[in-house]
Amino acid sequence: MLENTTTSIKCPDCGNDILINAYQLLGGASFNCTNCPVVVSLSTESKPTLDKAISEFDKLKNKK
Amino acid sequence: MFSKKREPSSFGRTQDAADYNNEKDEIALVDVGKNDQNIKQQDSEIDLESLVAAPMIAVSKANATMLSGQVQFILDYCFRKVPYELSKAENNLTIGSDCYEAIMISIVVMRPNIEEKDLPVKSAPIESIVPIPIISLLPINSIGIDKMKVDFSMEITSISSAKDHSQNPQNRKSSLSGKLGGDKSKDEEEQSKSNKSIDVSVEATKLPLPNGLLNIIELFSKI
Repeated sequence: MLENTTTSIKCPDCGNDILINAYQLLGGASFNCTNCPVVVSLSTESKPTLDKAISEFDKLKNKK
Repeated sequence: MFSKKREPSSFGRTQDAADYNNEKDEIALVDVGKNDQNIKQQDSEIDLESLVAAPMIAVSKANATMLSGQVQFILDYCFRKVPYELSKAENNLTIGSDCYEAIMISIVVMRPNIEEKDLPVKSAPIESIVPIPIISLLPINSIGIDKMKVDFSMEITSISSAKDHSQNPQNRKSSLSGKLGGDKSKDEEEQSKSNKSIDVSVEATKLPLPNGLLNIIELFSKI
């Protein structure tokens, strides 16, 4: 399967990977660090920016 | 429609079709199936290099189109163009071109309040806002065509080989020409319906992200 919608960012506390799905993040989901109790979610003011980028990203994928 | 005597032109159209095109100033479609000249042209020799190169060129063009679309998306939605004059003033740049800065989004990081974790009443977790580049969140995967298989049958009509005197006398130039084979009908009248085809199958795979993009993401993760 070519499509994998999960990416990872580094935990701001311990540096371990936090697996994030951008689509679920946009939907309001929170993601836990694999090593420490840090939880990350999207801030309200960044939703429009991520929403626009994801919708354009989907258009690009559908073109393929 | 094309009642005049037909003569082949250099581009495979009939001469009267070209005339019709000029007269009417419209695109004239030539019916390939009914045109004897075109059938003869299809049966003419094709060199093997052209036959193999054509699908490969098409595949490389498709790859380039996919990748350039992806690059354009990254530049448009993950980076913001900063005019040269502004970036020069801010960053003391000497290179005379526009700069791109990453578009950042804010994520809310929640940590448990560790200092008060032993208290009977749990306090609210500590919230902090951390900016991260949007490019690190999007699942950008380069997709490229990895394998291509060209399948055709060819009837060899000529093989030529000659010494190449221009550079090294030991070198020889050779060429192979032939006709595309097909499922020809036994009936002579139905030969025009012979099916000549090349089967091209391509397989696309996920490519690793380019090193430059990985370096940018890695740099942001260290800030």
